[in-house]
Amino acid sequence: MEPEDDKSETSTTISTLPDSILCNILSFLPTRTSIATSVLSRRWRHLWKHLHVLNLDGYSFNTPELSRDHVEDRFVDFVNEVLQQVQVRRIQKFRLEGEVRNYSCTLSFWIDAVTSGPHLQELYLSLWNSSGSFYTLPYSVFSCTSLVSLILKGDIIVSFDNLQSLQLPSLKNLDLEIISTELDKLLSLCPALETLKVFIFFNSGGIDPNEIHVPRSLKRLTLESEACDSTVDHLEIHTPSLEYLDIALVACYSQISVRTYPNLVEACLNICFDDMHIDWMPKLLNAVCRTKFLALQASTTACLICVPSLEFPQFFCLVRLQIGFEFFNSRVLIDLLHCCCKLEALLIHACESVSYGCLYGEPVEPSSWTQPVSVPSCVVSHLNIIEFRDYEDLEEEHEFIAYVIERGLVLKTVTIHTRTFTDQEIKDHILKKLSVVPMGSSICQLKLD
Amino acid sequence: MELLCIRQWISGLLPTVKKWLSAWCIKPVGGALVRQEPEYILLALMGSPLKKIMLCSSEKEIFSVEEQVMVQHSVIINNMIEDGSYNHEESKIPLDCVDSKTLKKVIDYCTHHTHHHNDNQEDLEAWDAQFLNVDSNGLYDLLMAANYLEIRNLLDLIYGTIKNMIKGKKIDEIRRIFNIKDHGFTPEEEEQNRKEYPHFY
Repeated sequence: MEPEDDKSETSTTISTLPDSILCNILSFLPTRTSIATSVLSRRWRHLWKHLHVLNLDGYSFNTPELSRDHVEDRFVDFVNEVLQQVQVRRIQKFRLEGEVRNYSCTLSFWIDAVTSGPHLQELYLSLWNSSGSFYTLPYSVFSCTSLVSLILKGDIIVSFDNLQSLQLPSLKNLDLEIISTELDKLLSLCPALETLKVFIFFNSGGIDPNEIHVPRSLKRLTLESEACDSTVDHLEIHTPSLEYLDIALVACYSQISVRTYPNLVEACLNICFDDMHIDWMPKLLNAVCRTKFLALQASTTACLICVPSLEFPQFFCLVRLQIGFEFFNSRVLIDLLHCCCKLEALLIHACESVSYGCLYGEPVEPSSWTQPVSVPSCVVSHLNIIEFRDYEDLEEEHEFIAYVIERGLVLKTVTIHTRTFTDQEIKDHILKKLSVVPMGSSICQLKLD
Repeated sequence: MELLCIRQWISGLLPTVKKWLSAWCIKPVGGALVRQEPEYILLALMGSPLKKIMLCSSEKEIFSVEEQVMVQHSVIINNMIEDGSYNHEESKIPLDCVDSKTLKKVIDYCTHHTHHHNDNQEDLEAWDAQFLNVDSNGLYDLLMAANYLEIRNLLDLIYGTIKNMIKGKKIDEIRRIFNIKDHGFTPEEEEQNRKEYPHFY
């Protein structure tokens, strides 16, 4: 985009744009840079003071000559100065990231100031403290009725003594990647939540039973737990509008409540291998049966294999399936394919690692190839793409691929990725073996790497 | 489903059809030139109802566009249609602050994003980058139009582009990019500026 040297009187240049638009341009810059634009020209001198958006980056104040405490002092002075010059009650978005060593009280003062304004819509805090202490979020955040998006990352704790007069009625987006939170209490404050992303390090429920109830309004849920030594007694996901589900459960979840999600588009399930999880796994599968895209990590598949007399629901809308195995199991895969009548893309990942809950080292029954009684209908009518990762040319793997190549009448591409460090000789051998399989589809291309 | 097949069939025929339809395409309606996309005429002939609205640029040129497309992207137009101040039969929406060239680009953007919203992210981003490959005048015109029509995703796209234009640049460079010929500071003031922001000069 080259600036032109001569412009006609009526053409639009930066100078003809109104102040409000110039301010919007500034709101996309780090606040420190926005303030620096005050030297561009007389007109830009005071523009930044009308900013409704603050992007405060403590890390940008780091210089090698100054000590960390000194850097922090400069940053605190800078923010104090900024908050005096802008209209704090008009702030719509407040974003702050940095290390908080000594200024927690001042930080709470700033947060109280911006949340008191009736216009605050977005609050983003990314705080890290290398000296080990954590920052407790002030209550003013939870009575901010205009807040639409709350994103917290780092060494932050969210806890409540009591929930009286706390509410977040406008909150639509909540993203937490923090040390600890009383998640259920927090979720009870957000009746309109649409997107929830939680990475639980450690759930300080503190109450027995430890439960998580997700707001009914939710459309997108990403739930990842790292806390493998805790137990969640009950996880409830009663969300009729759910469109996107991504759960990675490492802790033990004794019970879950789900309903069928009619609007589900994508589901990614990574459920660690555990007695309790095997119990409710069929319920979860039923709940996601309307999804278009499904990804099952190896741990989930391991649970599925152990479910006694597992019956898959019909996945009427499933178009793309991604499935991981610790050890490739063709029986389970064929059973699943029988239930996906519209499947177009199949991605298999063998040799994935499995996370274990309370069941350690359960002996895995070795599986072998048995010719299916009938061909899954999706193989014949819809399956276009197959991809197989970490292929080891085991007999079962080869038989499965050969079976599908032969019967896949509309297959377009079959891509096999061997494990890293596989010899070229072995790769050539695999390719040769597969090339002699009669192809059911005239346009099918076989690729190997 | 039928509509989709018809549109695909027409798109395939379009190059040849466009030629002989172009004579039909420009017809005077109430003194103004009404430009109709050929595919819509064919569809109208086949009796498929695609609700369209008319947008009138500052140069009095009228653009016909699918109502669904504009309603999805422009808050202003969506509000006009919802509160009933737009009458399909006779009225057009006057956009006196948007010229024809810019209005056509805005319509292109909205139409592409409606019809291709299922495409993958990379393709959409590549299209957006190509779309914004205009001179700075055109960019600011687009910005004003998107601001007026309240088209959130186009606004964010343009602001992001401008941010990238000036990120990390020195003052003189930014003055050049923004074509700020006269900064209006006295030499003393400029000296003061340099002291305050040495890394910016």
